[in-house]
Amino acid sequence: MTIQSKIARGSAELAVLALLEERSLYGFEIAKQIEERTGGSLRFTMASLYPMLYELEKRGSVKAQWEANPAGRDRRYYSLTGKGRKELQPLRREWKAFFVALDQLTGFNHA
Amino acid sequence: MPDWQEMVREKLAGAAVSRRRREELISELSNHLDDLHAELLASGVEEPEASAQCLEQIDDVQQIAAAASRSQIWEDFMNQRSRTLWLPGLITLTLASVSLAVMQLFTFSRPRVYWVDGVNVEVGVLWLLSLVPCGALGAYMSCRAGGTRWNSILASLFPSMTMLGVFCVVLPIAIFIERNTYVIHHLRPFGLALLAWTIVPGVPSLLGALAVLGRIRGENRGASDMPRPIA
Repeated sequence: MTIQSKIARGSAELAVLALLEERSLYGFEIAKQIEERTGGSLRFTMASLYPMLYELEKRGSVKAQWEANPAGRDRRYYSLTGKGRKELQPLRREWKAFFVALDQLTGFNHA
Repeated sequence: MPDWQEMVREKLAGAAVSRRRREELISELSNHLDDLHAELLASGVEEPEASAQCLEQIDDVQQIAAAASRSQIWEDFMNQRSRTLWLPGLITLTLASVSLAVMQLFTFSRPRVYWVDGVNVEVGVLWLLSLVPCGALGAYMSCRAGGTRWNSILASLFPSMTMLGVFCVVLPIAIFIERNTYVIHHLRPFGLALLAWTIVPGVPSLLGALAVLGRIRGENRGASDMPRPIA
């Protein structure tokens, strides 16, 4: 599933913030880790990843910083800000509640 | 392997982002394509197919640039020229004016007044010295905002340029429109006043700017040329 629909975008934001909670990552690493950890269910293209990162940066949820890489190219690392950390918990709860509600309605978890 | 950096640069040619932001986007997106290409090859994808998959993503670069443009909070208010020239220049001019006003309050630092053909030409040595840090600050602000060397120098020379502008407007009006006989008969002292308010203050401002630019260039020497966000 590529990140296009609104619901997928919302979940992708949660995925990005949760990933950045662990450590700072650059764009390609974020895309790769999300794809790997979701078994390929969530897949970012450049056009879906970077606009989201820039939006999160504008909102102040993440901050970006260029870091020198002596072995190769410099990277723009994204890390979670205090504001992003605060946003993450209610976002998790919201999505959990959403899936529970959806499960009750459709029983999709048991399908 | 295609030159991703060049291809992204071409795609971003008309993007409504600042020069500095454009360079950041080029670096970030071309690095992403490099990584993707390398990973596809490592996973066993043939080179033509790997390049084709990366090329598909390049088509979306303008969409990414549009998002980057929307997220430029600071740039929403000020374009690149404002940040690198007008704002540092205005701050330099304000500081120079405040400095002059403050020094004129104190008798010990009153400007030295030279009477030339009945017109006073003021030279405030302390004020001139204060223009060194003023010029340095203007150049520093411009440079940190991504300004070119010329932007930085012009920003530091803003007080002198402003006075030059004033003289360039006032003198021709007085001479050619008002036919002001006092000005017409005192062109030499007015010429000296022009020098005293433009060229003379420009020298310490320029010295301050050159000192800062030299220091910044020294710091950057050997470092990556990657654009960096202001800390």
